[in-house]
Amino acid sequence: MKCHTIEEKLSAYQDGELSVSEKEQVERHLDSCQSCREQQVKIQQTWQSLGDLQEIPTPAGFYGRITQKIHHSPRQGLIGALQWGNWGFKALPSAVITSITLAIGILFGTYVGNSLAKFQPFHRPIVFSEESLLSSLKMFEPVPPGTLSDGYERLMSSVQLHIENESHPK
Amino acid sequence: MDKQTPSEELMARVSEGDDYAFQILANRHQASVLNMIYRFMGDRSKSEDLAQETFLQVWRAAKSYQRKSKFTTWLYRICVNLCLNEIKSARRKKWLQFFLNAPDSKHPENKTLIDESSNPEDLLLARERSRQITNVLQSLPENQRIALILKRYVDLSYEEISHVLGCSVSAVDSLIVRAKRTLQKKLEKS
Repeated sequence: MKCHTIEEKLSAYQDGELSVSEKEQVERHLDSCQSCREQQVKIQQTWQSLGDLQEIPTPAGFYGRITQKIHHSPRQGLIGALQWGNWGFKALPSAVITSITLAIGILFGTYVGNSLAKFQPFHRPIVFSEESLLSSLKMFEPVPPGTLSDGYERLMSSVQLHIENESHPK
Repeated sequence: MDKQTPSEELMARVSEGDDYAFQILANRHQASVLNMIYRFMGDRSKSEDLAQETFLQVWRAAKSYQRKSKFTTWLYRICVNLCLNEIKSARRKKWLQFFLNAPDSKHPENKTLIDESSNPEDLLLARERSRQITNVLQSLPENQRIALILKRYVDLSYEEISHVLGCSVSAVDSLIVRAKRTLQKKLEKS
């Protein structure tokens, strides 16, 4: 077997993760190959040096603090999962939250819009009558009824009438 | 029920609301969980918070535990997820601080427990060595670091690590091989 193939297996060999046959193959190769043996020693040294990393002690009252937290929060259930501050809820993607907010906004806007539209002038029932026909023909008059110009004309005529009444009292 | 009771059996009792079983479980695994997190995060106070959060999640999610799965695999999966979430959150905070031009007030402590009875010179050397290894570990990519830590310090098999990380055994092998190579190079340099 080639050195490259063995080098790939040295880590698993050291960790005791090879099958019996693979382990034998590696050991046979190591017996005959100085370079791979050196590589194996280096891996071993690196692994051992990781043992120099010291352990930290469990602080006093560690379990007590866990139980405190437990008593201040319920077990994970549907309600617990939906609580604000729960990490699962926080993990909801912002795109989903934005979409929900937008959908609520559209629904609310539609509801408000429809409620206002019930009054004037969109939902007024259209009934054909002679009066309505004549009224619609007024659209072609110089000052169509209901427009700003019509309002201005009415205002001015009422002001004029008021002035005339005052200057010529009956 | 005593200290010899398997963790899987204790966990089954925890899922029925048994506080005492939870206490035995927490006492049994707290040191390894705390040290695993510390080695991964490199920050002592954050590690203590995350270790407590891990046991809190164990309690909360007890009902979802399936007895056929190994307890330690389930426990470390919770632990790893919390660590990765914390790293993501820290990364977001870092970006925010960068944009707001605010200085980062918290730095990893990298404090380790050293036998105080040793002579000062040994103490200093051991601290320095421990700091070097912590730094080298922290320089590894997260997936390589976590695979290596679960193998070296928690002594899980490749198969168990694959269950914790949710990947194949060959992927775990590859992660550990790459981690060892990087460590070897960096430790040789230092």
